[in-house]
Amino acid sequence: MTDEPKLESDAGNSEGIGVREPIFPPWTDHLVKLLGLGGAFSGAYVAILAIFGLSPYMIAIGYMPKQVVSYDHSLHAGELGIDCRYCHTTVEYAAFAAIPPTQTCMNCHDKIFKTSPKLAPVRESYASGEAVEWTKVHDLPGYVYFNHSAHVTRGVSCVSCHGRVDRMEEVFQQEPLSMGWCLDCHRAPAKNLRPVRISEVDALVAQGLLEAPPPSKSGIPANRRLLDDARVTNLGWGQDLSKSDREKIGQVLLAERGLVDGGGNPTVRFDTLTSCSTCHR
Amino acid sequence: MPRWIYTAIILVNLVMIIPPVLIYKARSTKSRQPRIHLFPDMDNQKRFKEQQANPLFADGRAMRLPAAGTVARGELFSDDHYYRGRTSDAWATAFPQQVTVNADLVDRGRDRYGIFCTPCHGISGHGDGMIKLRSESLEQTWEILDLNTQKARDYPVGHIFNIMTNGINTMPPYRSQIPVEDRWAIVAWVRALQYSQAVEVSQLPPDVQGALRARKPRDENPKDVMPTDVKPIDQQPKGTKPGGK
Ligand code: HEC
Ligand code: HEC
Ligand code: HEC
Ligand code: HEC
Ligand code: HEC
Repeated sequence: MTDEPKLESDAGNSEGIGVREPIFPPWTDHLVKLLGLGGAFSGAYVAILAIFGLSPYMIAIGYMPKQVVSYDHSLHAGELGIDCRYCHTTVEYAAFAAIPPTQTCMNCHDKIFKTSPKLAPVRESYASGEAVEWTKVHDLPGYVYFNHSAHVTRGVSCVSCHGRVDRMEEVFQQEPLSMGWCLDCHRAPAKNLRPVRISEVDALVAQGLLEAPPPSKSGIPANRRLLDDARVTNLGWGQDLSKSDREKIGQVLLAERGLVDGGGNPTVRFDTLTSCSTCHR
Repeated sequence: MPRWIYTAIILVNLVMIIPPVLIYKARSTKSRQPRIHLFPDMDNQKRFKEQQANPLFADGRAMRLPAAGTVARGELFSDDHYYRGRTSDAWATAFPQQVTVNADLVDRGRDRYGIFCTPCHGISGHGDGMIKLRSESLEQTWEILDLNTQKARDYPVGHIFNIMTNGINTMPPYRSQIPVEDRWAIVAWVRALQYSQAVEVSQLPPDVQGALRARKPRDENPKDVMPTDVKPIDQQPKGTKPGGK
């Protein structure tokens, strides 16, 4: 080590000549540690930022396009209580949920608000036969197969995937519609299920999971009214039930429908819900 | 350490708060911009989804209608009774053979009636649905037939079916919204409704009869819990609504 050139300051010190500032003052030692810490921290910071910032919950939720007609679900479906299926007639039969044709609006609006400027595009469309150009809100990639009837007829309510549409003035996307989100439910659908048959209602009442309402003046049987109430288009259903009760109800329904067998094990039908070819066909 | 380093650290930390805040804001607010496609790969393919627009066609629709003058297989709809409610030259007075009238049909009819008819005709058919009430308060109302009038009860089933199919007076056609078999189911339910609202008191179960006879007139007993739906028709003037509107 002897032929290593001596630093000037060292030389100065040893020879007792005037003290020079060191190039790296002592506090730089701390700076190195600080930079190391900062580097590690900013790595974690960027990673966390990316996880949150690029997640489908961030980039897909909240899309609320401006529609040509300021059609209001909270008025029609909420306040006036029109059933979703009055307009989205195909949900129970087809893969897609039809946006209503102009005729459906004109059922009422050739009498109500027939001169409203807000409805001008609807009247124009009715006169000319051209479609009203609604902007699609929920849009899955082209390689995903989704089917409304498969969900709606098995008691998965609109609210599980679209949120409280009956309270939205303008429809927006409430759920990410990502693959992870679909799979989350397909692995554990129980808490989103509702009864769709009288026999299922009866099974739930028998197990004390649903409470039979007092007899009504209309004379309609209690189980019939419970079923009506649980219809998938009644978005508010089940809010008075606790999470664990919803889960238990779902478990009973899964068993009733043959998705889990007597021992509580998933059947083939349950397993296919998570196989790739169910959604990518 | 020199002062400026501390200042720098504090500044950097302050700046680092901004991105999470922006993310939080974007997450909790709505946007007019469509979703971001990180890997657009094959997300938007060169094909059309249902009800999309296609500028190639004169009417701008990607979904095509059958060419004029053609009939798809199984869509000839030649059975007048089933598809139009007619037998030779009059409205059919009985259900077509494709329809079995049973409890299931009536149940289905009740369900569909609830979706498509209650907005105007009301739950028990008296023409007092939500839309009717709202249109009255908006003073833009129109005539809605009380399904429990003699006039409506005299309609043959085929005629009721036809009204749903093609509309009548101010009522619009519902053929595009309600499939044929459901229209017949609704006819069955309308008949059940009419029966329920016009039944003779003597035909009711004894306990309901007793309760009905013991009951005070409506005005004296506003919180009436008795079966108002089974109000006997012979005790009310024909063609009026209960409640005397
Ligand atoms: C009076 C007719 C009507 C009723 C009733 C109705 N909708 Fe709609 N709905 C529309 C129209 C028109 C649009 C297209 C315009 C828009 O997106 O706001 C639409 C759009 C939607 C969309 C967004 C579709 C897209 O582009 O992705 C959803 C989701 C939806 N409706 C759900 C519901 C639900 C759930 C109900 C019942 C609570 C319901 N609707 C009741 C007429 C109706
Ligand atoms: C079953 C009857 C019914 C149907 C079907 C219906 N509406 Fe309405 N709509 C109403 C009623 C009733 C009102 C008025 C509510 C109020 O303001 O009191 C209304 C109000 C409106 C308004 C507000 C008008 C204004 O000037 O304030 C718009 C816009 C509208 N509807 C659009 C539509 C569109 C678009 C459709 C078709 C998808 C449609 N409606 C279908 C019953 C209906
Ligand atoms: C399991 C989740 C799920 C349920 C339950 C569900 N939807 Fe959807 N809905 C979707 C998805 C995903 C899309 C987007 C489909 C696409 O882009 O192909 C969609 C799209 C729509 C659209 C736009 C038209 C279309 O088909 O692309 C309407 C309207 C709609 N839904 C209405 C409803 C109504 C009304 C109900 C309840 C009766 C309902 N949905 C229940 C997931 C669901
Ligand atoms: C809220 C829960 C839920 C969500 C979210 C959901 N599903 Fe489902 N899905 C179900 C249930 C429940 C079934 C029916 C299971 C049964 O009874 O067989 C089903 C069935 C299906 C089927 C039919 C399977 C078959 O062969 O019968 C397809 C396809 C499907 N889902 C696709 C999707 C896609 C794609 C998404 C995401 C966009 C999605 N689902 C989101 C609950 C959900
Ligand atoms: C429950 C329905 C469902 C099942 C089951 C499913 N997927 Fe998906 N998959 C989706 C949806 C929805 C998307 C679109 C997500 C998006 O919009 O970014 C998707 C997207 C993808 C993508 C594209 C990702 C991208 O961003 O480019 C791949 C690759 C994929 N899936 C592979 C698979 C494989 C492999 C399996 C079987 C292990 C599978 N999927 C099972 C619903 C499903």
